[in-house]
Amino acid sequence: MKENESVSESHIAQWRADFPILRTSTQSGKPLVYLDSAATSQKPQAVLDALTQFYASENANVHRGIYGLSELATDAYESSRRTIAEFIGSCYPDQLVLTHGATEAINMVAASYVATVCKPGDEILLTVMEHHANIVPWQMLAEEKELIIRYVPLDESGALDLEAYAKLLSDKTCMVAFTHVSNVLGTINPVKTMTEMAHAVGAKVLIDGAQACPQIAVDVSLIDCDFYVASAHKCYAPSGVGLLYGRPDLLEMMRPYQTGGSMIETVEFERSTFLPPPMRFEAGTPAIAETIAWAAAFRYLQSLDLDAVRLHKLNLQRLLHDRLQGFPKLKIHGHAEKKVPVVSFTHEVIHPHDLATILDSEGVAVRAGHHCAMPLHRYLDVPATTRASLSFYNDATDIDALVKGLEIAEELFA
Amino acid sequence: MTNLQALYQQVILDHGRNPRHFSQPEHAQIDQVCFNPLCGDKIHVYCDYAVDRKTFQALSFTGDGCAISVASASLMMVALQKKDSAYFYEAFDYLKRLLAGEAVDLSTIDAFSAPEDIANMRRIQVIAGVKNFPMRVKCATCAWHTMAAVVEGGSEPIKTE
Repeated sequence: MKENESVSESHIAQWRADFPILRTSTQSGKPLVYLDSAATSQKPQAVLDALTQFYASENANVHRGIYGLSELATDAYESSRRTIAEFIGSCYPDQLVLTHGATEAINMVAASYVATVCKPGDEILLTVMEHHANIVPWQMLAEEKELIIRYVPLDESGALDLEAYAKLLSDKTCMVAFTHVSNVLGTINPVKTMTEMAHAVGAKVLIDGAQACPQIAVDVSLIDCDFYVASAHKCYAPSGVGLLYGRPDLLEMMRPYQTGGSMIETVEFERSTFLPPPMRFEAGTPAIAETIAWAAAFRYLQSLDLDAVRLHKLNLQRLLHDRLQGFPKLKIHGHAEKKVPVVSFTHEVIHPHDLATILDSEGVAVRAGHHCAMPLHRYLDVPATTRASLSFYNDATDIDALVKGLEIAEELFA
Repeated sequence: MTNLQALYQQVILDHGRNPRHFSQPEHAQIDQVCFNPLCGDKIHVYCDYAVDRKTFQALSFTGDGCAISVASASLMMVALQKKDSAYFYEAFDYLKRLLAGEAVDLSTIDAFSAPEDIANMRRIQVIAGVKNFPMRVKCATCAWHTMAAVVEGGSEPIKTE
């Protein structure tokens, strides 16, 4: 499919039909217009079915029982790991640690890898567009280990300033951690180039893929990063599961993050030995059904016409920008050349919270606030923004509803 | 009138846009800040007591916030000028009863006897429109909790979530 080509209405109608929640109404009695997919995605019927099927006919604990049902559950869980690994282009399932979310995965790398290799005075390089989850774990580590945190600034468009990035990198940089896609600006970062630049000075690279995985194709082997993290709930799957992809030699040298059942080889009264990765990092009973449902979400996505999905999202992003630019009092933050359909904006007169309440009365769900990126909002010099974040299950009528809500708000505050 | 119209009445829009007693004094005996970490809103309440240590001699506020939080702070400022802590508690209690959905008869509250008090409290009734928007109640009460901390003599920043 070529740019500017439109996606057939029947395609879009089918995608929408796959998500039961889109047929519901809000408390205001209006049909739900869900524009908060960057906070969490909605779940297709295939995912709901996978959860039900597991609990109805396959439920048992994994890696434990000798009986058939446990074997069935273990097979389903481990084959889900393989599916998830394939989805991010990581060919080997043993490079894929299943965590409780992207946040836990970042904390794991900070505590179990960086804490063991860094020296006082070493630098951690982040960017000003990071989510709190990719700032606070490093601040805690920096305090404990006397490290220095530096931040890559943005250019005017809301893209990272790569010249500044190049200058900030040095032989003192031990870790570079940045988001693949900004949850506020929608910017897609040049992760491959940034990884190469970091590796050139000997730094390791962690990429926060929480916003990228649901929006763009990800291949960790192409990016060649050292660590990559993501959360299932943003990828059309249940909450409570995430992933950490790690380079095998780095995972191998990492100490356990949490300890307990499932992650040990032997336990004696005096000491214990641990399993190799990824099991070393998966203490306790995992989120079994949720992981299996995550694999079902990936299979569902693979069943779609992915070219059509990509084009539809590009069209939505352009339409959203065009329509919002029709409001002279509205300022969009983030005009990077490469971005996903996530738009944050401020209004000259109307505070984001008032706007979100008024939009809610029209059935339109947007997020208002700092979107877990307070430093970025301070950098942009705004206390809060309103964010509309779209997915392939949105369509032009959703953008119409947003525009109508904005008109009502302007009228009320005129 | 829809819930939305009941919330965004002219009084709220007016006080939200043109808040009264919105200024930062050079020196204030008390500068109490309220911060909402969920939304990033911040309100400072500045207070000087009269020599009796009870009457609010000078009372003003500054801050960033939505129309509801700024208007509620402004209406509170208007109501509390030259009043004292006992009067503040009466007014806060009145607001809480309104927010709980109670139809409060102003003539039953002794503290609000002067015509000016009654007029101020009638305007405060408008804030109660927020009761149909549970997520926004914290916006409406932010300044009031800040004022409670002022009266209680606290200096630590308070938070609403």
